[in-house]
Amino acid sequence: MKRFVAAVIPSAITIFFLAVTLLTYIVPGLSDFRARLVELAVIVAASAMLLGVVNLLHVHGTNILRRRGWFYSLVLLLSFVGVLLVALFDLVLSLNRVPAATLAQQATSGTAMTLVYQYILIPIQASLTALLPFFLAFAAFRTLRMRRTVGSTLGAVVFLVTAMVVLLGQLPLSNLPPLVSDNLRAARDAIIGVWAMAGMRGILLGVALGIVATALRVLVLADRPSSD
Amino acid sequence: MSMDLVQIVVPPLILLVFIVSILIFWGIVGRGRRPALRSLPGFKSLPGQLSQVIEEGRSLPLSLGSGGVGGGDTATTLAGLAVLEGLAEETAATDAPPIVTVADPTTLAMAQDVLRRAYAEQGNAAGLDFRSVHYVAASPLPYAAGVMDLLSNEETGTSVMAGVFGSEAAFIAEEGSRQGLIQVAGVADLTSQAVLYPSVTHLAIGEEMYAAGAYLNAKPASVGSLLAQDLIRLILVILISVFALFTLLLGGAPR
Repeated sequence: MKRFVAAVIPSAITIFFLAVTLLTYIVPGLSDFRARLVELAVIVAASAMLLGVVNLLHVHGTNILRRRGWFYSLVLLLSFVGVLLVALFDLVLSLNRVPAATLAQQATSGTAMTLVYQYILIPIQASLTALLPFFLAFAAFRTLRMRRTVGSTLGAVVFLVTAMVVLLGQLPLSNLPPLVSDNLRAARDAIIGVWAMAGMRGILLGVALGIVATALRVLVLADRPSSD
Repeated sequence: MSMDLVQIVVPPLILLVFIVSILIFWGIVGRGRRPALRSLPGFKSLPGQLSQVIEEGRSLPLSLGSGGVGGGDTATTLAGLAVLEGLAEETAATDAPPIVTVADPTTLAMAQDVLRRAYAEQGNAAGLDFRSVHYVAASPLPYAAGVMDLLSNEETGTSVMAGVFGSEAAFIAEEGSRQGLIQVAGVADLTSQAVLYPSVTHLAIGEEMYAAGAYLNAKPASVGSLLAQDLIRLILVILISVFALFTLLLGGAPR
C-alpha cells in the first residue's frame, strides 16, 4: 500500500499539473490560472536554492580538505562568505528604513550589493564574453585543420566561407568598388534571410516536436521524472 | 474553413495524433519489434566510451547546463536528465558515477534523484556519492568557468554536454578541445549549436537531443516516442509543403 501510494501520488500530481497547463494554452481565458501555477513553481524553485548552497559548501569544502583543486574552491568559498556579509550589511542598514515585506529584496538590491554587481561581477562577465570571438575563431581554424574526410572538410570550408561573407557584409566597406560591396551585402542578406532562416526554422520545428514529445511521455506515464 | 478555426482546431488535433502515435508505437516496440533508428553517432557511441572510461579508472563529466525544472527549459532539462539516466545505468554497478554539473538547484535535486534510482536498482545504493552532482553557479558564464576548471582537473577522456546552453558552451568546448577530449553535445538552443559546431566531436542538433534517451536506454517508451516524433514531423513537412505550394500557385494561403 505504502509503495502504491508513493508511486501513484507523485505521478498523479505531475499529470494533473501538466494536463492543466496544457489546457491553458488550448482553452482561451485560462492564462491567469497558468500564471498562478508558474508562481507556485517559482516558490518551489526558490526553496531548492538552499539545497544548492548546501551542495556548493559540501563539494568545495571537501575539495579544500582533500587538497584537490583546492585553490579555486577556497576563492569560491571566501567570495561566498564575502557576498553574504555584504547582503547582511545592506539588510542591517535598511532595518529601520524599509517595511518588513521588502527587507529580503533590499538584501539583494541594496547599495553595497549593487556595487558588488556593478564593479566586480559585471566587468568579469563582460571580459569573459569579450573573449568569445577569439575562442570561436581559434575553434574554426582548428576545425579546418582537424577534419579528415572530404565531407567534413567541405563542411568546415562552407562554415568558414559563410562566416567570412556574413562578417564582411556587415562592414561599411566604402573603399571597395560598389560592385564588390553590393554583391557582398546581397550575399549576406541571402545567407541570413534565406538559407540560415530556413535552417533555423527547420531546427526550431524539430526542437518544438522534441519538447512536446518529452512532455507527452510524462503525460502518458512513459517517463517518470520523479522518484517512486 | 477560416484561419481562426484552423488555429483553434489544428493544435489540439496534432496533440491528439501525437499522443495516439506515441501509445501505438510504444505498444509495437514493447512487443519486441525493434525498428532501425536513424544514425546519431554521438549518443550511439557513448556507452562504448563510458565503458572505456570506467576500465581506465577515469571519470566522465556530464554538463547539464543552466536549465531548470519548472520553467520554459523543463523539457530540455528532462532530455539532459535522460542522458544522465542512460549513463547512470551503465555506471551504477561501479563506484564511479558520472560527474554531473548543474546551474539550477531544481536540476541538482533531479540529477541526484536519477543517480539514486539507478544505483538503488543495481542494489548499490551505498556506492553512490551525492557529491558527484555539483551545483557550480547560478548563471551561465560562472557555470562555464566552473566546468572549465573541473575539466582541467579531472582525468577523463570524454566530456558530455546535454541540456540548456547559450554561447557560454563555447568556453566549455574549448577547454575540452585543449584537453584533447572526445566531446559529445546535445543542445536545443540555436546559438549554442552554432558555437559548438567547430569544437565538439559529435553534435546532436535540434530534436536529436530529445532522442538521446532512445539510444542510451532503448526503453520501448523512448523509442516509440522517437518514432511518433518522426511521424508527426513528416506530417508537418507535408502540410507546410502543401501550404507553400498553394501560396505559390494561387497567390495566397488557402482559406
